[in-house]
Amino acid sequence: MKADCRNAFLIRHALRKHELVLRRIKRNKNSVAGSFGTVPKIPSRVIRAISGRISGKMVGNIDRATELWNLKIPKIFSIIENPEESLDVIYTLSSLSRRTGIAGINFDHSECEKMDLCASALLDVVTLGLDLEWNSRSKKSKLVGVYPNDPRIRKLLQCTGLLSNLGFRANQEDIDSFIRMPLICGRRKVSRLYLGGSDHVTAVQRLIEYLDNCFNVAGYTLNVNGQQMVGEWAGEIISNAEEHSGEDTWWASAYMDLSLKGVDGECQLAIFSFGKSIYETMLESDPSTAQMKAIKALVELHNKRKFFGLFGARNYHECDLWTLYALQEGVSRFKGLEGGVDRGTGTVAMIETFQSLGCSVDAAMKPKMTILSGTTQIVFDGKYSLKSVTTKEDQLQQIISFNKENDLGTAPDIANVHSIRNHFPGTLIAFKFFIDRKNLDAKSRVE
Amino acid sequence: MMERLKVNLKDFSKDQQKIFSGREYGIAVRDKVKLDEFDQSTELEIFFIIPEYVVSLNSSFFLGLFGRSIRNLGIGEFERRFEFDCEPHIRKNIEAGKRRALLTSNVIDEYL
Repeated sequence: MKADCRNAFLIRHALRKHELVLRRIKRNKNSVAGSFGTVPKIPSRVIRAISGRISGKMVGNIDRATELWNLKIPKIFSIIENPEESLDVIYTLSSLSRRTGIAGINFDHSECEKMDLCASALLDVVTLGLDLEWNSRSKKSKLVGVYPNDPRIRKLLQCTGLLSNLGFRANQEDIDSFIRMPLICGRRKVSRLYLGGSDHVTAVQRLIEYLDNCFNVAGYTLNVNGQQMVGEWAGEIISNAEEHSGEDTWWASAYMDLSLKGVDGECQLAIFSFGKSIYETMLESDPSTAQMKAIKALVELHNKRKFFGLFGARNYHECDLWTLYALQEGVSRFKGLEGGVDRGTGTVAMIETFQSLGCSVDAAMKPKMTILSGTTQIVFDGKYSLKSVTTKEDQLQQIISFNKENDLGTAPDIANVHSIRNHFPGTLIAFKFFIDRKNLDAKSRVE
Repeated sequence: MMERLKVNLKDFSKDQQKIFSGREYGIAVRDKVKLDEFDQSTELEIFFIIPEYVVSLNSSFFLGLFGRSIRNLGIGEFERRFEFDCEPHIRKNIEAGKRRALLTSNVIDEYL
């Protein structure tokens, strides 16, 4: 494929930090080879975590002349708005790790018109993993690409996307139009945990500072209640990633684009981990607990009422109900916890707060968030909210059912809770919201 | 005569840590302080100091640290034996944590 030189980028030349990792792998090459020299071990944790577990369609084709895989990035590369085509790209990358006769990848962004941070960060992490793996097998790989025609997407790619994470330095003016929290990779701390200072705690503190900086742009600051809310929510998501996924590593990234007209900025935030999906970890719970009996009774009810199946272009399956159930207050994914309740609704509560604080006076700019785990996507678009419900024992429980009745026994709105055709091995949480001084002024006047 | 044990969360944190989060972290502190042994003794009170710079005691951490004590002792005995020296915003975390630890019923129980 001949790429227009002005629009082409050669990523390999942009590598800096990544080169050091590659050199280390080359030094240890003998230790990564399989013990019998037949099947090489996969050195990249990322590729190992998703290989054979992610499902999707292959995207692109091989250019016989250059032996480069032409990977067409879809028009809408977004986990929030187009998860299926976006995950196809990730599936393709993970499949290429085992293919022979490929000299590298040509990332063709030319037709990409929308790109969200979650899809972009996921692409970066998997590409870096793939590159590490190829290098561990002494395979010389070439990473090249074609810039998007859209100037805003081009800027995003350079300042917050693959190029940025590979060490490419964009021009200062473009960099200054973002407030960034660069991609963080955190791992579960296992020894001397009682001393604190884990990646988990550090990341939560950094996220609080980052969001405070974003609100500062509009002349606001996060007070202690705001900091608590972010701390509770981010802590819950990272805890779940560390304790349930079985992979103990997670990634987080954020940016605020200051160049948008009409608002102070558009914020995007992504947190993801690989490993087991929410549904898979729920299935591992002790079947004799009241919680498991209750969810099975609920599944039975949805079955009897014929809620599962295809509705229009969307599917609603049992695994979607389990995932929705896991978001409710007091639902635990810990095995055999004797009547204990140790999960909150931090994720949903935080999403709801950003639905309110993160909107704009311009009705076209609506915040949107999604949770994607396994084959389930749950979309938060402000239509449904968390409400208190009284239980049989007269206790208050926070519930979100994604239906008018706010009843878990009734089918959720298929637009908000549904299955996708891909399987993502892990959990992704993506946020898009706006910081608009006019909206914040109006909200603070009401308060 | 009740004996009083003093625990400062500062000893279980790093660099003026503002956030205490994670069930495993809470359990690790619980094990270090030996709260399981403390729950068995009726002659002990515990005084928890939470430094003023702490912004949040997340529910995951709170429940890892105190969840078992609340369930073992019951809320009345827990409140009698556990005293907290903290800022008002942390007091709110503690009250929310107590409520969650005691949440025993579930709205979908009616489908059983």
